[in-house]
This record gives sequence, structure tokens and C-alpha cells, in this order.
Amino acid sequence: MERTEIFEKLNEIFVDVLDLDEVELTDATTADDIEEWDSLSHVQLVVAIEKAFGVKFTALEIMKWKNVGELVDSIVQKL
Amino acid sequence: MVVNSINFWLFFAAVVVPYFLCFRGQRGQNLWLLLASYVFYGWADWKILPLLVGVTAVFYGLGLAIARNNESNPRRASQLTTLGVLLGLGILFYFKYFGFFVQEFTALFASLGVPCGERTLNIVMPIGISFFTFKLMGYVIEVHRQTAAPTRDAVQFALFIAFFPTILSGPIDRAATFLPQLQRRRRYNESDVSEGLKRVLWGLFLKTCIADVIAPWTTVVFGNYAHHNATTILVAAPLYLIQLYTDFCGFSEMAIGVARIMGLRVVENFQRPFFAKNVAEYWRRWHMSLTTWITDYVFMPLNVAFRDWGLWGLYAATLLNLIAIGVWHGANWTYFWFGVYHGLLLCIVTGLDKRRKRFEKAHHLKDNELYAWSRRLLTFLCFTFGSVLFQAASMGDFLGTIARLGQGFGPLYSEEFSSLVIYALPATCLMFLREWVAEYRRDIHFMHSPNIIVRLVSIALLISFIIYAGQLEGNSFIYFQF
Amino acid sequence: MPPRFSLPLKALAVLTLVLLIDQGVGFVSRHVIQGLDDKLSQIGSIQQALLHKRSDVLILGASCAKYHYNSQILADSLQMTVENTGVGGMKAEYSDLVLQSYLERCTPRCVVIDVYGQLDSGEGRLPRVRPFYGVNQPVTDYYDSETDWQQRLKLQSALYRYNGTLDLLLRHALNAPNRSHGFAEMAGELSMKDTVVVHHFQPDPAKERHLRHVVQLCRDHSVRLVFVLSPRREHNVDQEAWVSAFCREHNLQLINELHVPDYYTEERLFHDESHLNGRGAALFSKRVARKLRIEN
Repeated sequence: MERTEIFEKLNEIFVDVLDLDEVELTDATTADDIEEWDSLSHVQLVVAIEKAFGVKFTALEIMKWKNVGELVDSIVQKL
Repeated sequence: MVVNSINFWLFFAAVVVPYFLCFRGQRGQNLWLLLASYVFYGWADWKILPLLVGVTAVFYGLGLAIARNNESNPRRASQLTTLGVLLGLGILFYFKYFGFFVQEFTALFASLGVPCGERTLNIVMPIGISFFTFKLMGYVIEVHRQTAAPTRDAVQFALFIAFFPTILSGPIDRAATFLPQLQRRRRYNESDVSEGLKRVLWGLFLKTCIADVIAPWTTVVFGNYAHHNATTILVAAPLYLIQLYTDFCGFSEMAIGVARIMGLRVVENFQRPFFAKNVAEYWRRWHMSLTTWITDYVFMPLNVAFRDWGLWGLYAATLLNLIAIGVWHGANWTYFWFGVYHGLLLCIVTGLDKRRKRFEKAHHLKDNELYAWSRRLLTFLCFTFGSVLFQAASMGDFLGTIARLGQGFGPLYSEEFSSLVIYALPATCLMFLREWVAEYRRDIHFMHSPNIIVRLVSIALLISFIIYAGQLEGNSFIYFQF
Repeated sequence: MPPRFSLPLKALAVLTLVLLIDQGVGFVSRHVIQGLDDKLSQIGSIQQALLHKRSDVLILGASCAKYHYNSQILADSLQMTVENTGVGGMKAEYSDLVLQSYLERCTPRCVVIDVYGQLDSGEGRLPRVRPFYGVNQPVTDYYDSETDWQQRLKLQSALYRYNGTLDLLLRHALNAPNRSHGFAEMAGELSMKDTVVVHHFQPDPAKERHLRHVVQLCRDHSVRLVFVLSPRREHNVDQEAWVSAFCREHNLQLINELHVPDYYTEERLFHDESHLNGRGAALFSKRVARKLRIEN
């Protein structure tokens, strides 16, 4: 899967889980940029992402992501 | 040496003058502060000082080893981190909880008819242990997660752990925000010193004019609850919560202020918790350094581990999270049930979250002040009930206290109550006013007014009020026992 | 002015302001308190005892003294002037200070000390004599010799000395136990029938020293000193034994009302576990007066 495709799918997931109107994620986006993205919704996002892409992350990986770019890197690694 | 004593300030003066004048670089400054911190801790508890130095050395080594293994041997890194956490928990368990467990098991066996030798382990809990072990464990976890860089500088690391303004009672700092500050020399900065002094003054005000004035009354009421009627208990409960807040917040303010004078920023511990609109928000504003620690290192991992169980996984993680916070306070069933109580409340809040947001949207309640204040009142009442549990010496005492509510109302217990009304009440109003301004306007208030005369007069009046109306007989601090 | 020096300057300004406020508060407080008699406020009582009162009979002690010794009844019975200087929560040091102050003004013929609680550890209400540091010599000497330099430093400030006095003034303006020559009458009755006995008594060494000083002062001035144990619903047998032994050692008269059945058969004489009410005090005062006359 191409990175751009992954980003598109992530946008959909974020809109759905966080109840947003729309979002444009980039490599540099962090939780500080989106108000509804807190530690609680973070885990809900992870669950949705794992389901959507059919992957499973380790706890350590989840803790280490500093921005969306690193999240996408992890997805790419697993696919 | 408590922060609100003349001895402490003499010590501090002796430390801070050379701190600014004698050293050309951060190495000298850090070493000097480290020595001062060890002297300070030794003064409080010299028998445990070797333990402090020892674990600091061990964790210093662990940090470096974990960082080395993070990329090359992740399994090893995980194992070392786990070792660090177990070591920290082990120390904590031994000093804080072991005696309690032995006691409970002995009682359990006795009730089952199995005789056990009556042994009361006299393990004296070292002061500050809950705080520095948490810093140590946090450090190795952060290094493992690569959210903090490990340090090769042993002095900086040891200072981070033993930093005297915060070692006895927090706030609990993080390596990622504290260590970088130690890498530069701190120069005398007038705004830091001025701001630091103002915070110390405010902390002193909270503690001596509110907490220590309320304390004698609530201690007598709750210590002797069987003699008091429902009216007295109902008045004492919220007063106790205010006392707990001003006691701990006051102390935190003084610690943060002292650090600020030295040019070091310590994490905040409180953010006007009485303005929280629900229990979840309250915990994000109360003892923040502990709550964030437990959230980052207990709640998140649990939440992630339970993520496939949906809402029930979240509830389980929440409950365990709050139980951890409760039990951190000490080895007593009251702390455990305190955690359970708040865990359940939080689950309710989480469960109703979406429904509440829809309700608010439908009725346009977002900016409704009356609605906001009724939520705050409800939250305050929830915490008031929790604080009665928190202060009880045992579950029996808690239940006994609650039982008094059914014994009928009557006149308020008025012994020594007048000093609360004459001193603590205006002081509490002042505190509330200041917090209200900070919450809603975020700008000028007296000590930070742009007008220098207002500033100086405010400070002078505050100092005078503290000396005139404060309980100055050096009362100790509730959170010292944790 | 270069910014580097403005903080010390500001600190100096603040210090000056605080000193001005300090002096102002001290001046006002001094004048307000000077006008107080002992009828309505505790700070007034303390002031009267330390600075003004004189009488033939001096009653010392804590709340038991204040509520039990009816000055009028004693005065009528003994045909002498009687002043009751009991203040709740005070201990042996206060008794010592009051006696010293008294002896500067007059020589009483008899000093009666209600002993229960005088020897317990802790400051009790002693901080309430702080306004009289620098005004009353025994108080000044006490703080100069028995406290550390931090305390003496704090006492230089009027704000510190008058700490807590506003409360005392206002409280009693609202809820005044009307005192007559120091005696205050309690209303109400205790509905408890049993007497509780407790053990373990460890006299605080500093308090004991002050009590011995009281004995010494009375000896030096040839003043008759009498110890009294008031009736109580909860009493400490070890303390009773200690007091008896102390009186024997110093050859002092001890009036022990602890086991007199008259108080206990009719429980309507007690206000609470430790204090008699007005009627109980009347009976008690008559009995004490009689015993004082007998041993004369």
C-alpha cells in the first residue's frame, strides 16, 4: 500500500473515531494539533487502525509514536 | 526542615548565594546543589541516605544499559526496564506495604484458627520514598520508550532524583523536562527570583492561613466522630477537603517557588481543581504530577493491553488506574476503597461522556454558567465524600463517621470554630477570588498587576496577613507520610 | 536604575510597608486590649490577671479553675477578696507567670491551685500571653529564657504577638460567658452515670519545674499554698497518686474532692466529663471554703 493511500484511510478513521468534520493528516501531525485526540481516544484510534489495516502493534510501538509519520511507518512495516 | 520554618530559609540562603556567585559552569552548580540536597535529606532521615545514593547509582547504570540495548537488543532493553520497575516497586513495597500485608495475613490466619506469632514489624517508612522511587522508575521507562535521553552525567542524574525542594513531597518531575535544565548554568534572573518568591508567599498563605487554621477543628471532629452530630460532620467534610487542598497545594507552591528562585522549572501540581466540571477533569487538575505519572505508566499500558475488550477494557484499566493512585497513598484499606470509589465514578463519567456531549449540544449548555457551576458543585460533593474516606484511620472509622449522619442533626460543634470563621473564611474567599480570576480572565491580579504600587502593597498586605492570621506554630504536612 | 538592583529595592519597599503595618496593628491592638476588663473576653481575663488584679485569695488553674471556683461564694465564706484567674487550656507555666505577676503587686494570703491538667505536655493556650511580651515582666522573662532565638525574633513583630487575638475579641463579643471576678458559670447538665477511670500519667518535666517554682515562690513570700483536685467524671488515678505524693513531699495541703459522693450521686451537677455546672460549682465552692477555713 502506498503512503498516500494509508493517509487517506487514516483521515477517514480519525474523522470517524474522533467525531471530526474533516481532517488533513500529515507526517508532522501530533496529538497537540487535534483537540479531541487525547490519551483515551488514542487507544480507540489504535483499535480502529488495527482493525482497518489488519495489523497488530506492540505496546512499546504504540507508546513510541511521536507523530502521525511514525505511526504510518509502523503500519508500512507491518503490511 | 520544613519549608515554612526559619531554619529552612537559613539553609536556603546558605545554598543559593554560592549557587549564583561561585560557579562558572553547570558542573559546579549541579554538584553544589547535589551536596545541599543530600545534606537536606540527611537532615530529615540520615539512615536512609545510603539507600537513596545506592538506588540512584543503580538506576543511573540501568538507564545507560537500556539505551544501549534499545536498538540492538530490544528484548534485553525490556528486561532491564522491567528489572528497574520491579526494583523500585520492591523498595516501595518493603517500606510501605510489607508491614501491612504481614499484619493482614496474620489477622486472616488468626481468624481461620491458625495461630501465627504476633509480630509487628517496625519498618519505619523513609520520608519522601514514594516520590523519589517514582522518579527513578519513570526515568527507566522513559528511556526505554525513547521519550527521554539517558544521561551520562551522574551528578545531573543524582540531582534530578535528590533535588531538595521536591524530594520530600513532590511535585514528581520527569527526566525529559528536568534534566535538560541542568545542562546549562543558571544565572541570577530577577524575574525568576521575583516569581519564585511570590509563589512561596502564596504557598505559605494557603498553608498557614487556611489549612493549618482548619486542621485543629477537623482533627478534633473526625478524631472523635462518635461525639458529633450530623450537622458537624456535614460541615467538617468539605472543610477537610479544602484543608487537604490548601495544605498540599501550599506545599507544592513553596517547592515550585524555591526551585524557581534557583532558575529551575518544576512541573505544576495543581490547577484549580475546584473548578473542574467532572471527576475526570478534577483528577487532571489535582496532584497532577502523580496523576500523569500513573496515567502514563499504568493506565496507558493497561488501556493498550485491554484495547480489544472495548468499553469493558477501558473500565478495567480506569478502575485499576485509580486503585493504583489510591494505594500509592499508603497501606490502608481506606486508600484502596478510595481508589475503587473514584474508579467507579470515572467509569460512570467515561460511560456517559458521549451522552452528556449530545445533551449539552441539544440544550445549548456549553456556555451556560449555571450549568457549569452545578457540575462543579456536584464534583466537589463527590470529592468531599471521597475525602472523608481518605482521612479515616480505618474502614471501621469511616463507616462509623458515615453512621453519625443518621444520628440526627443538632447544633454545630463550635469549639475553636470561631477562628475558622474569622481567619480561614476570608482567606479562603481570597484564594477563591484569585483562582476565579485565573480561571476566567488569566490576567491581572494583585501580585502580578502591571502597577508596581498595587503589586508591592498586595505583597506587603499578604505578608502581614500571614503573620497576623496564620497558624504559625510549625504544623507538619499531611502528605509527608506518603 | 539598572534592572539588576531593582529587586532588592522592591524588597526593601515591601519590608518597610510590612513594618509600618506591623507598628500600626500593634498600636491599635494595644489600645483596644488595654480597655478590656475580664468580664467578656479571654484576652481581657489574661490581661487582668497579668497586669492588674490583686486579692487576698488567688485561684490558679485551667478550665476547671475557671468553672468551679465561685469567687463570690468563696469571698463571702472566707471574708476575703477572691480572684479566679483560671483560663481554659493553660498549664503550669501560666500559673507560674500569673503568680509572679501577682507577687509584684501584692502578697496574697492564700493561693489555691487546681492541679488537673497543669502537668500535661504541650503549649495549650499559652500563645495567648504573647501580646504581653514586652509589657509584663514575667512573660518577657519567660520567652527570653525558655524559647529559642527564632521565637524571640518572631516576638519582635507586633503582628506575630497579636496573632489570634482578633478571634478572641470577636468570639467573646458574640458568645460571652459572663465572668465575675474570673469565675464563669456553666449551664446544662450531663446525663452520664458512670465514672471513667484512666491510668498512665507522665508529668512533663518543664511543667513540673514551673510547679515547683510556684511552690518555691509561695515559700519565699510566706504565702499559704493549697492544691485542689476537683471532682470529675473521668479521672486519672496515677495523676491523683502523683499529686498526693507531691503534696506530701512539699508539706502542702491537698483538698481532694475526687471521691466525694455528694457530686456523683446527683449527676445533674456536671456539665460534662470534666466540669461542674453552676450548681455543682456552688456546692464545690462552699466545700472548698469550709476546708480552707478549717486548716487555717
